[in-house]
Amino acid sequence: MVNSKVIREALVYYEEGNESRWIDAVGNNVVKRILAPGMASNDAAPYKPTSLITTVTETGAGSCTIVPSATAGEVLVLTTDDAEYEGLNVQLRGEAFKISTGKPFYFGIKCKISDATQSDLLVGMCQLKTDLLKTAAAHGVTAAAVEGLFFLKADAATTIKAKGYLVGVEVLTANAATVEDTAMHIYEIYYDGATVYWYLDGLLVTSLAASLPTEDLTPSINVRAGENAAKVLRIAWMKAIQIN
Amino acid sequence: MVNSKWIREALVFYDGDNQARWLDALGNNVVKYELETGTPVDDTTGDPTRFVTTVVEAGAGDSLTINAEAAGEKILITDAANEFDGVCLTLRGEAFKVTAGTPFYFGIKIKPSRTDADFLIGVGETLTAYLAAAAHTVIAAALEGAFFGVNTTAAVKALVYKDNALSSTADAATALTVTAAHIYEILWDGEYLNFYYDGTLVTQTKTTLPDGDLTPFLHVRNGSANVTTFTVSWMRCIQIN
Repeated sequence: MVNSKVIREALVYYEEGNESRWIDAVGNNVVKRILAPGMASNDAAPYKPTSLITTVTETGAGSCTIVPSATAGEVLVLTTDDAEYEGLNVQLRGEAFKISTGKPFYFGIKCKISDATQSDLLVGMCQLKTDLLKTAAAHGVTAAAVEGLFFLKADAATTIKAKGYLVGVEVLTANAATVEDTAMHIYEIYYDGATVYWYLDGLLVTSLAASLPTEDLTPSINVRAGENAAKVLRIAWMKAIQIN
Repeated sequence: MVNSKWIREALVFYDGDNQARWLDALGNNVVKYELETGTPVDDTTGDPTRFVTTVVEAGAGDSLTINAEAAGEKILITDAANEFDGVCLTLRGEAFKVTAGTPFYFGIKIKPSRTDADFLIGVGETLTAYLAAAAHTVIAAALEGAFFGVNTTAAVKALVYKDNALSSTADAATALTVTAAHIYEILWDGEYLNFYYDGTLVTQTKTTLPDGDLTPFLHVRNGSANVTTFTVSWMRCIQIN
């Protein structure tokens, strides 16, 4: 059931039994973006949604795509091309969110990757950067200039980790769970104004109160193939809300 | 704090300290628009796709509208470097109207970078330009709506136009300041058009009101041959029909 509470004079709706899962918020100091069905897109492949900055990596024939889902309960489907490292780096335009003392925010995404092992996946809040994950030679975070708070699953591993980066340097890594490709999972990052918490399916994974990002951030996704076969990321919902 | 009340069977959320500042509304009879975080833009032109965008740039350089890359801000408009260069953004469609008994709210928080800027912001009939091409005045022809306007260093005014003619004017503030964003709001309560500057009532009028269909717009320009930026933190328009 949905409950509500007042935070910094804004009205925040949250899930009863899980106060760190924000549903929506109303207030003059609220900055938010909730992905909605029917996102407007450009006409040609990869059909980039107009409210997202989409950077495609594809070396051969074929095409990565990012399209509104044709499945009930989902909003977006990202499909990589069929060679290793091919994929999409997707970020909400602008950088409207920031770790700022006393100004809580929430990021959440419910999604499913089609291959638990042979894929790269990053979801969370990052600074704008067209290649959050490496595009050749090795799998993992492009450390240089990456700043943010996110979940990461690297190719060849099935463990998804909570990660924190500050000015290109990893400041936190913690195993969250073993990824599976048969069900949707909910990845959430909640900042209470002092400490950042990572949650997987509603369970606390880890937290971080020092060395937090100082730059402006935006909701971010990066998905890549870990082998010569296309991978699919299905997104049921994604939202980011901050009370300034 | 956020409060809520019923208006014409719709649930309206408002600022608990300011009933004229509507935050959101729910209801089958609600028409609303809020400038989005991650405002969609055309992949080729870079123009916001929900707006009719008209750019004026007389010489070299570009007048641009982009998503602001700063926390808490939505869009950043940067005019090119010549006097009268600027951008006119008009929300597509004309979904709002001054109709007796069906209130609406328009609000915007905006900050210019120079005090000698021109702007006209509010709700009006769709035009590709609200300000004259080579003079610091409004284009009266075809102008209809309720808005705030300033030309160069003059005082910011609350303005009402009907059938191409000025029907109400009042000073809203002294000349523009660039040290902080200000909030400009128009509340049609179903009987009076009320204008607010930073939450303070400036003027109200109930006669010779616009009767055309209206839409939120902002037309911002340089008042001199200097680049001016305009940062919009938020903009929304809500009507209860």
